[in-house]
Amino acid sequence: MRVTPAVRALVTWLAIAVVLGVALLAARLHTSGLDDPDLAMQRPGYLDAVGPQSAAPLVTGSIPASGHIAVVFFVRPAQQKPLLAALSRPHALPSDVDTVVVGGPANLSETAVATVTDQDGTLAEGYDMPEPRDSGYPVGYAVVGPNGLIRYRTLDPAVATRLGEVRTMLRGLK
Amino acid sequence: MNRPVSWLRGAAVTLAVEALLYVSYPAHEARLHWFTSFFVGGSVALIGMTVYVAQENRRVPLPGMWVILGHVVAMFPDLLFVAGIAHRRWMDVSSAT
Repeated sequence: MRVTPAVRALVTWLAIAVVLGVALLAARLHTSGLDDPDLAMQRPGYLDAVGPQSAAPLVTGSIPASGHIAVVFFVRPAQQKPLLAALSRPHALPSDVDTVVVGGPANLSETAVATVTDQDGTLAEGYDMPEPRDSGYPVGYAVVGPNGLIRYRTLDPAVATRLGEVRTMLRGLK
Repeated sequence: MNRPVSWLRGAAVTLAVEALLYVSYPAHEARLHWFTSFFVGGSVALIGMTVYVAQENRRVPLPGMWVILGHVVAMFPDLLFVAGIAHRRWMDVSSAT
């Protein structure tokens, strides 16, 4: 059979499409129950990307406070300890940023970071945090601007190891 | 160097560079950014090569480099993000060009 240029081009195109299709499928197979159902909306990297720019509910008596930037972390028990350890390191987050960890059991005496329980998920709901694939409590964070509006919310199952990314988003606010 | 060998070498270099770009996204949820920027950058590269062939009426030199260049331009916001600069809407231009 004579292979015409058109046939050769078609075979090449098909081969590339199959390889890329398989690679895309393989990449999508590796997900976790903590992931956002829409991975494109997980750690999108720009402010005001996900959800409305709504007012942030109070997490503690003073956070978020007017004129202050705040980061509200939402975690399950498994992430609480590593996140608190990461936050306790010097320069983990800028000192002028209020930080609070929501979800784990309150243990204010042992950490400099405020921790708040959210047994019924009211706070996560108030922050309009995305629901993870396993429909459980969200693991991620919200960034609140100095005007009290939520500017960024995302699920991030590995947030304890990615505080640098939180700092990047905080820089984006300024 | 004969054409098949040259073609194979170019394809191998392109695949190797693209593989490196892929693993530069360590987080599993970020890997789809590789696909997005590859498809966008690769499409622009294909359009550019088509225009080149139509105008010059000869083979495109280093076609793999066109794809890699288009891909790197499209993923430029991700490179900035790694450097600590958050995405901004205007950066969408790198994916739109």
